Parts: sequence; C-alpha cells; structure tokens
Amino acid sequence: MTSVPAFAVVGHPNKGKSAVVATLAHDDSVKIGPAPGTTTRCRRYPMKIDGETVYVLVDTPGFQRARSALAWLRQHETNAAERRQTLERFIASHRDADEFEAECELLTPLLEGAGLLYVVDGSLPFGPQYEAEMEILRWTGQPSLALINLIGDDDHTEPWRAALRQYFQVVRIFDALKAPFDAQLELLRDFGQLEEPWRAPLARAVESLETARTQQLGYAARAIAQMLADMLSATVTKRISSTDEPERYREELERELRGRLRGRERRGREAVEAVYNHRAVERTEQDVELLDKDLFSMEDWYFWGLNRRQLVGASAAGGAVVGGALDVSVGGASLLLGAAIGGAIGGVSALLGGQRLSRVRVLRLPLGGVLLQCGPTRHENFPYVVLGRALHHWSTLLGRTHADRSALELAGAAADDGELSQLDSGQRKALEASFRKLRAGAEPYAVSEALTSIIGGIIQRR
Amino acid sequence: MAASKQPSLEQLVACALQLQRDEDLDLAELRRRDREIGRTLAGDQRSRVLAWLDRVGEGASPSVGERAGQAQRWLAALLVALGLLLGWAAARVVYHYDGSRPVNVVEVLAVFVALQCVLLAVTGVAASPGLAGIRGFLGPLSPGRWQAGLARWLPQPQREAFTLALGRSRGHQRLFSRVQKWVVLLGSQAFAVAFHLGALFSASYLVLFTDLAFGWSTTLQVDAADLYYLTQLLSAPWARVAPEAVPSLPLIDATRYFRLGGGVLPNAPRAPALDPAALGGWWQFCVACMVAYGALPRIVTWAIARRRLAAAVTEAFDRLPGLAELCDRLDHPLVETSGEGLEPAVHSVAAAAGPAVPASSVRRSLVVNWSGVALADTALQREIEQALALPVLSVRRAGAGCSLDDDREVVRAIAEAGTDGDLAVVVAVRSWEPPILEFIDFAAELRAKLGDGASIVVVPVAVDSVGSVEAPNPSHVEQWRLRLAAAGDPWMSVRPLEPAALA
Repeated sequence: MTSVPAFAVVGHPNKGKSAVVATLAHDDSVKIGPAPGTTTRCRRYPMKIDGETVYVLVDTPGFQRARSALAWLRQHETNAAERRQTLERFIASHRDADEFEAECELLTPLLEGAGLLYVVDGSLPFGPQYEAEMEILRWTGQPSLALINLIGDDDHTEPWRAALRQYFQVVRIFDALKAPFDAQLELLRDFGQLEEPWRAPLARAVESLETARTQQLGYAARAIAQMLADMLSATVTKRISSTDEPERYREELERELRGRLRGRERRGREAVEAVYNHRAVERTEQDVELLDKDLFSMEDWYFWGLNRRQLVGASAAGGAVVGGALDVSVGGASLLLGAAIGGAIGGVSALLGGQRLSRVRVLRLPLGGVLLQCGPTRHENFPYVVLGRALHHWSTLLGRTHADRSALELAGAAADDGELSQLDSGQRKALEASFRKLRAGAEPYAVSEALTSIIGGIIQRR
Repeated sequence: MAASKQPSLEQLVACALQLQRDEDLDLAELRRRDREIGRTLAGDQRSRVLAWLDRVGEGASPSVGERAGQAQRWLAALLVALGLLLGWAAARVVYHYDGSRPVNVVEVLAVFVALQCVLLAVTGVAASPGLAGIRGFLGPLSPGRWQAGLARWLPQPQREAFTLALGRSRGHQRLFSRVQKWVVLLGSQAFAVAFHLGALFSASYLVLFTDLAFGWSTTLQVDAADLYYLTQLLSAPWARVAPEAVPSLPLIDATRYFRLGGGVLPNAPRAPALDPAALGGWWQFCVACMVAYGALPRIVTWAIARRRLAAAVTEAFDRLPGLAELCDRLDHPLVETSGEGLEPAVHSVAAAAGPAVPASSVRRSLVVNWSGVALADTALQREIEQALALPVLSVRRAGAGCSLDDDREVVRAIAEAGTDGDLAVVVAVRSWEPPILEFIDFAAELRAKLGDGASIVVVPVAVDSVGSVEAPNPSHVEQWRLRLAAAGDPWMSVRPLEPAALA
C-alpha cells in the first residue's frame, strides 16, 4: 500500500473517466473527447498542499481487450489467493507488447496500491461487455468505488447499481459534467472511507479545498473590481488643430473607446477564469453598450501643454510681476495695487484671448489646439450593467466543472437581473459612492480596494 | 514590538516593477513561486514583502530599483556640485570689491536674505498638499525638476530606471505623485544647502584673504534708522550670542554711500570715533545672515524633505497595486490539483471513410450480433433485411457474453459460407458503445478469413427501453465510422440501422 492515497480512475472507454478526473482535479487541460482511446497513458493528478502531496488521482486508458486479458488470467490462475500475483505476471509478460497496452497501463497503478474508481455511464444500459473488466478489477483486491456517471439524459442507474454492487465496495452516482463543488467534496470524503489510513489525508484535502474556494472568492472579487474601475474611467483622447473639425473624429474615438472597453472586459473575464483554473473557456457574450448618448468633450489646449486654467494662472502671475515692478518703482506707495491689478489683467486677458492664441502659428506649428476626449462613460446605469455582466459570468463559471467544454453562454445578462437584484441598500450605497468617485475622476486603483470589499460581500453571500 | 521596516526608493521602484512583471505571468506559477518564498518569511507584512523582493530579485544585479537609486544619487550629487558652484559664484559676485566702491550690504541682504525668504516661501507652497496646480506652475523654477533634464546625461540603464521611477505609467501617477514631489523637493533642498555652503565658503574666503570694505546704498527712500531697525530685526536670532555681528547705528550711518555726491562714504568723517577697521565689521553680520536665513533653514527643509520622502515611499509601497494579491499568495497555503506534465498526445484516428453501401454483387448476408444488441435474432434479422434489402441467411452471436472460442467459431462458419463473393457479413453493434480493439481484432480476423473484396457492413443499432429500434445518435455513428475507416479496410462500411418508419 502506498503511503499517499492514490485513486486510479478506470473503466470502459468513453464513459467519462477523464471527465471525472477533470472535475475533481479542477483541470481543464484534461483531454476529453468522443473518440474512444482519447486517453492512452496514465496521467497523475496529485493534490498538493504547499508542495506536499495529499492524494493522487490517476487517469487511465479504458479497457480495450478485457475478455482476452481475462482469458489469459484464468489460464494462468493457480488459486484465488494468488490472483494478484497472476495480474503482476500478466503485466510483466505484456508490458512491452502492444496487445494489452491499455490493460497493463491501467492495472499498474492498482497493483502499486491505488484504490480503484470504476466509472460507468448510467445513462446507457448495462451490458455484458463490462463483466470481464469488472472481474479483472476484482482480482486486484484493491479498495473500490464505482461511480455512475450520467452523461446522457436516460437513466439506467438501477440495473447498473445492481451489477456494480456485486463487484465494488461503494457505489455512488456522480454527474462529472455538472457536479457542484459540494458534491465533489462529498466524493472525496467517500474516497477517504475506503481505507482507514486514507480518512485523515482526504479530510485535510477537503478542508484545504474549502479554504482555497473562499480565497478564490476574494481573488474573483478583486479581478471584477479592478475591471470595473478601469472600465468606468476609460477614456481616449486626441489633440487636433483649432481649425480642424472635431466632429470628423467622433466616430473614430467612440470606436476606439468601445474597443478599449471590450478588451478590458475580456481581460477581466480571463482573470476571473484563471482564478478558478479555467484556462480554455470559450465565451459567447454581446459587447457591453456604452449607454451614454454623448461621450464626446473638447477642451482648448495651449503652448507648453497648458490647459485654460493653467494658462490663466501663468498669465496672472506674469501680470503680477510687472505690477510689482511698478510698486517698487514708486517706493511701495501704491500699496501693492500694481501687482494685484497686473495679475487680474493678465488672468482676464488670458481667459479672453486664449482661443485666439491657440490659433497662432510659430514656424508653422500651432501654439495650441483642441483636445478631444471620448469617455469616460458617465451614465448612471453603466457601472451596474458592467457589474451585472461580471457577476453573471462569475456565477456561471462557479457552477461550471472543468469537464464542461461547451461554450460559456453569457448572452442576455442584464444589469437588473440576477446578482444585482439581491443587493441590499447598504451595498447599493457603498457601490454608488465608489462609482461617484470614479465619475469625479478618481484613479481606478484608488477605488478598486473599496469596490473589492463590496463585491466580495456580494459574492460571498452565495 | 519591533518597528516595521521602511522601504527605500529603490525597493519601491523594484517592487512596483516586479509586481507589474508578475501581472503577465501564469497565476498558478506565481502562486507556487510566492508561496514557496512566503513559507520561509517572518515578521510584519512590509518586512515580508521586502524579504520576498530580495528573493525574487536574486541573481539580477543590479536590479532596476538599484539602478534608479544610483541614478537618484548621481543626480543629487550633480545638483550638489551645481549648487556649490553657483553659491560660490554668487558670493563672488555679491562680495566683489575692487576698491572703487564698497561691497553693498543691501545687495547681500537682497540675495542672501530676501531672495532666500521668497524661495523658502515658494518651497513651502510647493510642499503644501493639494496645490498640485501651483506646483506645476512653479515646477521649472525648482532645481529638483532639473533632475529630469540632467538624467539625459546618465548612462542608459540608469536613465531608463530613473524615468521608470518617476513616471511608471499614467495609471500610477497619483500613487507615485507624493514620492515624485518629495524626490523633487529633496533635490531642490540639497541644491539649496549646497548653494549656501558654497556661498559661505566663498564669502569666508574673501573675508580671510582679501580686505573687504562694506557700505550700503539704495535708490529707495531709506535712511540709516530704517536700516538699523531692519538689521536689529534680522540680528535677533544671534544678538545675544554674537553681539559683534549686530551692526551699530553709527556704523550704519557712517557706511552709507552714494554713486554721486563727491565721495564714496560721505558720512564717514562725521563719525570720528569709528575705527576705520570697523568699516569691514559688516562681514560678521553678513555671514550670520547667510547662515541664519540661508543655510540653516535649507538644512532644516532638507531634513524635512528627507523624512517626508521616506514617509511617501512607505505610503506608496503599502498601496502598490498587486501588493494585496502578493500577500495572499505569500500567506495562504498553496493548493494544487492539476495534472503532472502535459497531457499525452492523442492518436489521430481520422481517415478516409469507407464505402457507404455494400458492393452491388452482394445478394445475401450473414448477421453477427456483436456484444449483445438487445434484439431477438428474428427481430434483428427482420430489421437488417428491411434496412439493407438483403436476405439474411442466419444470425450468430459473438463478442461480450460469448467466449473467445465462440468468436473464432463464428468467424470460421462465416468464412465457410462466404467464399462465393455474393455474401455480405453484417455486424450489428450497440451504437453507443465505442469501437474498441476487441472489435477491431474480430473484424481483422473476419477479413483474414474472407479475403479481400468481401463486404463487411457494420451496423450500429440503438434500441429504446421497450426494445424498439430507434435512430442512433449521429455522433455515435460518426465515432464508429472514423474508427473503422482508420482500420484501413476498404471493403468494410458503416451503415446505421434506422427505424423502419425512417428508413
């Protein structure tokens, strides 16, 4: 018996062995395909806590020549007590040949001490072709658990259960494609029941997975908050000449802003998916709408990059210096009125003359121009739309197993349904306060911590 | 409790850049790396992060942060040198004495007291919180700002590191704005301290090695009493400890001079009691003014700027984007469940599909029920005859539920019956069960006995819960088609059994 509990997932081809492994290992790199023999070699999925292996799942290829293998075993069997040795001889005899490649591969971890998890498809009828492989597995004498996986819609679990009980210690129904997290943990606890020494490591594994799940909520909340803050403050700008027609650039800037928002939302989705170890999810989702009717604004800019306010300040200071010189020349008798009046004149003249100044060209270069800006989106519903979509994505992802390879359907998620309808007034107020700060020009990072906390509260309620 | 470690500017820059680089790394890899380091760390959060930074940056020397620190030190040294030089030069100009006219104390006061007070006020404004607009306007006046220009002359690695430190990205401008402000102000104060020290050295040199005569002169309507009042005011800080550095009214009155009026110091004869050597007595007052209103305040503001920079660096460090995530990774146990290595390559089974229908010369068929298709022999015979329009001679069973000897007997019997060439072998299989090697072996054995040209038709059959034939799932049929096509038998075809109503 190995010191670390190991569980070999075995069975007939195409009954969902790899799907069970993908779901329990939270690993969507596991190849799952309709073609029989997708798995050709064993692959180990160790569950580690800080590098220490707590248990190991082993994905194995399906039986290919079970009847022939059983015939060989029966031919070489001496007595029931030595069946395990017969199996070892079988592997030793056929290890280097192609004939029983799959059987040797799947039996090896069992003979090394792994518990066996026999997977069948409970949506298809029981048949005689399974008896040979179940018999071979019984010969290993290893702790065993049969999983009735429901791939299709039909239900043949009762005949299966009746057959499986004859061969395996425990029989469980487990939908590998849809099993919620709690069901996955329950199954791990069942693994621990197979052998007394396995109970403690599996209990520890379950506890760690539960803790990690809680941390993932925090990571997801942070990823959503950062995305939301970035999207609410996203802008695109362009400097044009004062003589240029701003309207010409409206469409281009709006398109660029849309692209920027789309890209940021996509990166946000990927960040949340990475938190849950979903790395190959295909999504179908409509682009977020901007909602604002007019996102376009423009401001004059002047030489040295000063905006109107800075230009007024600079001119006022210049005027004050000139006025101050006059004060000095009269020995201070003017009571600094010169500086005050000079400052005022400088400021006002800059205010009035700035527009004209921006059109002046020196060496053909304009002294100023117009700064066009598209965004940020200030529509009061926009943040709720973005957040609603993100929470919908998160909750859909949360219920998705790593065996599920279908596209993630996110179409139709609206701001006013799902998660947001359950917000309490405190959460709404806190959200609105953060959104207000972003609308007022706060940097995204300055708000994302507060948003993380609020969003964490929302998603932890689930 | 031990005080928390204070990060340096180098560490702030290095940490910000490391966290930025980490954003592009794989999350699982990051968790693994950081938890491995985190398990060995102790102390408060900041100390752990600083220790993590050392570990992550191991092997990369000098780091970007260190280069940024180097650049800052070099630029500060340049500013100090510049300050010393300018201070020295300013004092040489102000204390210039060639015998034609005395050193004008008003000039000394204007340059080393009045101007310094104004500049100190400007520093105060620039250092005040919430005055970013004014700070921006005053920016070009600040020697600290010259660092950006001076940085152009640095070697490329240091220049790039310094640029990164001062303006990593627009998104982080606000986070780093206080740090930038105090870096600039610290540079300005270092420059100012150096300026005053340079001026003091220069003034002391001139006093020691030349014979300076002081006087005072101004176009403004100021008399000796006014200046006496001003000097009393200015001397207040040192009047008790150094009374000789406080000019007296007779000295002030005697040392006034005019460009016109027939004499350099016309009032001097009216003060016969005054020692001619006292005309140089102003120097103590001038030097004391330079120390009290120039050098000392700047040393104080330099020390304040240094402290504020350290505080700003610490504050920015604690608020670095990504730091909270890093602490999570350092502190929480790493749970991994993913598979080891890469998923083994999948054998491709795609191949050209075989013929869809048996050869036209076929006139009859033998049916094999493989692995227990759930139909009685008569029902299966009827269904096959209807579907393929071929008379069925017999139905035999093979595969699961039978022994391997039974399989071989079926093959032998078929071979005996099928040597004429007008016989097709129809193998009914459960459509939903995938074709496994056991079946491929059987088909290969059949082919070996029948020889080339004989038709083998594999018929996937689906039976519902009441025993009626139903349409097989197309994906199941495709699975059979692909797998058998890969077997490379051109006379073997796949034809699903459709219910009679659909056929």
